[in-house]
Amino acid sequence: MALTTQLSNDGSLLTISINGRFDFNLYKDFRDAYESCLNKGNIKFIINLSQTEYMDSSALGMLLVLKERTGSGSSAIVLKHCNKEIKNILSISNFDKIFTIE
Amino acid sequence: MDDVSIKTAGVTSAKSQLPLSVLIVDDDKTNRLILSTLIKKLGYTVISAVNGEEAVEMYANDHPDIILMDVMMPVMNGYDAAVEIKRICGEIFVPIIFLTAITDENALAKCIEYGGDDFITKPYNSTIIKAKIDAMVRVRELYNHIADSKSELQEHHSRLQLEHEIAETIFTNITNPENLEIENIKYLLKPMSITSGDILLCSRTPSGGMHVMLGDFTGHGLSAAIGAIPVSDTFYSLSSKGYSIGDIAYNINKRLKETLPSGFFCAACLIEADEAFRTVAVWNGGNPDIIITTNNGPPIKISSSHLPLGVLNSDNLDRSVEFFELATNDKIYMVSDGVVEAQNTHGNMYTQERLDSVLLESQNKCNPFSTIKNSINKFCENSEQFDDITLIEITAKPLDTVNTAYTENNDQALAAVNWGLSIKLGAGALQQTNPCPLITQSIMEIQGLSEHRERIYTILSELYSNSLEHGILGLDSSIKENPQGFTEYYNARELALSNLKNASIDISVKHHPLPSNSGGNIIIIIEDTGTGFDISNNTSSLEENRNAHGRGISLVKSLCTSLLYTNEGTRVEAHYQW
Repeated sequence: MALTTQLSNDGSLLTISINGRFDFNLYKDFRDAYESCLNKGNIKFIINLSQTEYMDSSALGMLLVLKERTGSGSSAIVLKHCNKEIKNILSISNFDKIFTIE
Repeated sequence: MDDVSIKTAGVTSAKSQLPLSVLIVDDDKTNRLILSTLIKKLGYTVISAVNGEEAVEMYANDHPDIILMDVMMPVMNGYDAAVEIKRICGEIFVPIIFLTAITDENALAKCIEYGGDDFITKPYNSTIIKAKIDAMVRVRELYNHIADSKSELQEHHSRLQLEHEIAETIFTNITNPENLEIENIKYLLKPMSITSGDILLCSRTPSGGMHVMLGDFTGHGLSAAIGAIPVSDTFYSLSSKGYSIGDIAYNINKRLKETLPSGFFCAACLIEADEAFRTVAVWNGGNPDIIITTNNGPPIKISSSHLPLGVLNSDNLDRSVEFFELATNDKIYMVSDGVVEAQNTHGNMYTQERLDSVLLESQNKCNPFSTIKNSINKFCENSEQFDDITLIEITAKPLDTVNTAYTENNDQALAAVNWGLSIKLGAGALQQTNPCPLITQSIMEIQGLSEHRERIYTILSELYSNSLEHGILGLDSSIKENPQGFTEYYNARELALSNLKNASIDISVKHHPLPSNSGGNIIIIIEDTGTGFDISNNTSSLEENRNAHGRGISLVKSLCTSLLYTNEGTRVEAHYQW
């Protein structure tokens, strides 16, 4: 699976892990992954990019949509374990200004 | 039978709830009767034919869904009938099951060879007949399903193709590559699909300078091309009115945020050069580094310091730009990420590092652009392209000597009449607007003087910036003489402007027809609440004045019939005749 999700036991934290290329092919999977959790109130999202090789602008767009759907500040979404390549993409696009990157 | 009726036949029997019909072909009456009774019992309607020829006719008229065919018959045998029926039904799958007493393996193989789909050996066993017909019905359903999907897919494909072609035409029309046919610009555009998600826009400003934008939309193809419409619209309309690239970036961002779905944006670099090409202003939001190669010194890199356009709400968009000083023949390079992420046949990326080193090497060659272009083309040779690739090189050259394909829209001047307008800007307004485009535009609307636009705009903007920068903010333009002067100057300007309180500038424009009715006289008066400044150094002629600063006033003087500073430099009156 290119995308796997894991909901914490108390339901307050959804981890979405992306394996391989994070691009427009994951558009539907990515949306499906968080859609059902959005109306559950104060949920936080971790996007685990440790196994992600590459990210294109569509992926940045998908993150933006998620951010807009959560309707809260950048703290509700954390991008974790980015490799050098991905950090670079995030910094060129200045997405590090609107997302928390760890 | 033509395609349409074949299709109708297939669709009707596949989708209607009517029982399927079976055609029994046998020259033996008893056999026909036994089979027909048996098959009716299974819930099918039955028609029958006595030989191959009749079977072919009946197939053509009644379109049965399944055919049970005897082999040995007078007039036309089962083999020949099967071949003929399969020929007629074309794309539609009509299963033919041979009925045969033969047990010779070769003869059975021949049934299949002639287009049969299965065979039943006599004597008939009702369980086997039911099983074989059921199996064929299943195969038939599967076949029809696939055939339907295939034709649907073909339809979608051709519609998409058409839409792409329409989009390409629109895209080409609005981005108007003719505007890029300028002597000092070279570019490479390699779209991934028919339509590109990258756009290159170039326009000459009213004051003789130049605006260039390289945009890269999320995704490729059609969806990307749609975003090009508001972007190029905004770019060309604001640029021609004399707005700065900060304002253009602000307005494009606003427009995209309003019109595009979220998650869809445009990484963009904007460049603004003045007519002399001495300074460039740069705004980079989300594109790879802009690189300026210089004749004396290491290349300058301008990394993206803004978010792409269409991401932030307009209030949050940072329109601040960076300024750089250039010398003639310095070169500015901008690329879309398709260049640095281009892959070769081994799946390796071109990378920013490779681009940097090729850029550096290329500067010793006689044609740096083609060196870089060849390097990119060679790297990607034979490999699949994943993104649009765009590269542009802009050579610094005084733009008054550069030929452009830029055509001005020559509105006819309107009859000269008496009118006036005035505008007062307080500290807040001074911080957030540049009134010059608005005023120039108003003059154009009232008097239709488009061929004078550049000159009028230059006069207004030079006088206004003198009034603001020296009169009100008290900046010293001699800072510009230092090597890092321009940058320092503009940084000081930003700082002083943001701290500005209790100041105002009054601008008034009056217009009178000339006595001979052969034109008009425009009087521009600008007054500020500043402490004034010493204008004596700035009033030498344009020819004598070759300093880095102070050319502004002498330039204005050369354009006006009269220019007069009074009240210690806090009031200036300029007359322009047309």
